[in-house]
Amino acid sequence: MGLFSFLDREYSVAKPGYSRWLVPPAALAIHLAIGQVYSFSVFVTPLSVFSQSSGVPWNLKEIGYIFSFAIAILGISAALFGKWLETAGPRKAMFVAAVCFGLGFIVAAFGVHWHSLAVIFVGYGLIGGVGLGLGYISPVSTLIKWFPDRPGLSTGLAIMGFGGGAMIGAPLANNLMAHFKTSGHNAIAMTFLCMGVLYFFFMMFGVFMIRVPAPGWKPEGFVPPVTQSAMISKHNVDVNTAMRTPQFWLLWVVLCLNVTAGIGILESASPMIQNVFSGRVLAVAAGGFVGLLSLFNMVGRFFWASTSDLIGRKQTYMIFFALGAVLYYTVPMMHSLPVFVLVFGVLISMYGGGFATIPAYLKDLFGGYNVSAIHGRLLTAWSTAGIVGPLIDNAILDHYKEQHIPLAQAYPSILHIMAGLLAVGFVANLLVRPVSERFWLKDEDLKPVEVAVH
Amino acid sequence: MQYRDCTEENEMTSTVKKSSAASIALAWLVVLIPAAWGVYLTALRAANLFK
Repeated sequence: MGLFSFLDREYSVAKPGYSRWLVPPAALAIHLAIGQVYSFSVFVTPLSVFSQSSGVPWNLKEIGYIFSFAIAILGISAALFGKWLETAGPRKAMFVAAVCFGLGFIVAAFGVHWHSLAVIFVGYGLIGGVGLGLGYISPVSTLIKWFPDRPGLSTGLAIMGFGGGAMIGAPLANNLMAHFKTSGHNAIAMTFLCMGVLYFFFMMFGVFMIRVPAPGWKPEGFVPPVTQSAMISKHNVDVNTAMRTPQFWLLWVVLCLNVTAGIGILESASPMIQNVFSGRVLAVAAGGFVGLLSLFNMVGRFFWASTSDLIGRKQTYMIFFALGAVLYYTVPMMHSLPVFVLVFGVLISMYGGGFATIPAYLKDLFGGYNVSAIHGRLLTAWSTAGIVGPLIDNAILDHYKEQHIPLAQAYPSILHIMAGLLAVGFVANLLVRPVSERFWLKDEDLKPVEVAVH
Repeated sequence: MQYRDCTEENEMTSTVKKSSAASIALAWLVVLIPAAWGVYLTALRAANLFK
């Protein structure tokens, strides 16, 4: 028995009596940690100020690209390693995620120490990005197996953690930087170092807690429904085959457009509210608006994913796209601050809900056999949206700036484009139908991953 | 042989150790405490919007 054999799938099979309610905290430990990436902006200004001392200053855009790079690597690594995760098991994948995410911070700390932006890119962006991708998808199929009666609720719980991670990451980083600054250390390097170690151990809690259910396990009293919606398949589709189905690409468009609309708004929430309510909302209050949106983003992930268990995934996305398009289109006409804030809260809750509901949607259509791997490949839609959303925003804002038109007038155009994107998403979702029988895996092709368990 | 199988089965059933409520609560606390800290600070920040 090797030192790391406890990571093998066979050692993570739950013994009889193991409560399934111990599994969501394991998933949350991973997602709350990696969700820190959304708070990377707290390092942007300190890194820029710090770089002045080296004689080769880094501009804010260059530093901002570290975040974009990490998100791109998240999508790529989730797509590349999803299939490996299915065979290696969630515990091994979570361990690798913890090592990469923690190590990414530590390498970035050396990058700061050596005044090398390239090393920070390699550390936080590349190594940490692999940790993000693996960590994001690793608990998904395990949760779905433990909660066959409520797959939306279970994955919503975990992915809610990713939305909430920034709420821990930002104050943690700020407090650590303030502490190390007063003690005369290199504040950013030491903060990276501490965060790397802290997050590694926090994620290791998830590694030790995660269990896969024993073959054939079912929740007590759970009887699979005899008749159910045609949109919930009892068959499985292999990851490579899934990519040849129209359903995969329709869901890719669905996720991409839902994220594009939300991410563009999240990026410019603070300047937008200050411009639209000029003189009434100042910088501090705008910061409060961003904080409120983070709360809606987090709660929306749990609320909408749980709701999808009751009303169906397709219907849930219908609400996102129909209500979203109407709200994006009409919000420029709303001049009441509380209504404006509430509408954006609802919109951002649906942005988060889109992330949290997609794993259960994939499970419904393609079965649970390769759901993590399929989810991983679908996340390339997120990486794409992460580039497209801000591009649309910035292109319009730059145009208004060049023409010397007040920026407050640019936002209705941006919001109307987002409404249009959501209308396209509505059509894509409408076209989703059950997967054709010719794509189903035959029983003899199902590799009995869990049956091999000792 | 048949008798022995039944006994083994009974033994197995009686030795099934269920996760305790305390261990479940503890596991949730490990993740909920930092999450609550983050939510609390964010809520404080969000309150600035209504001042």
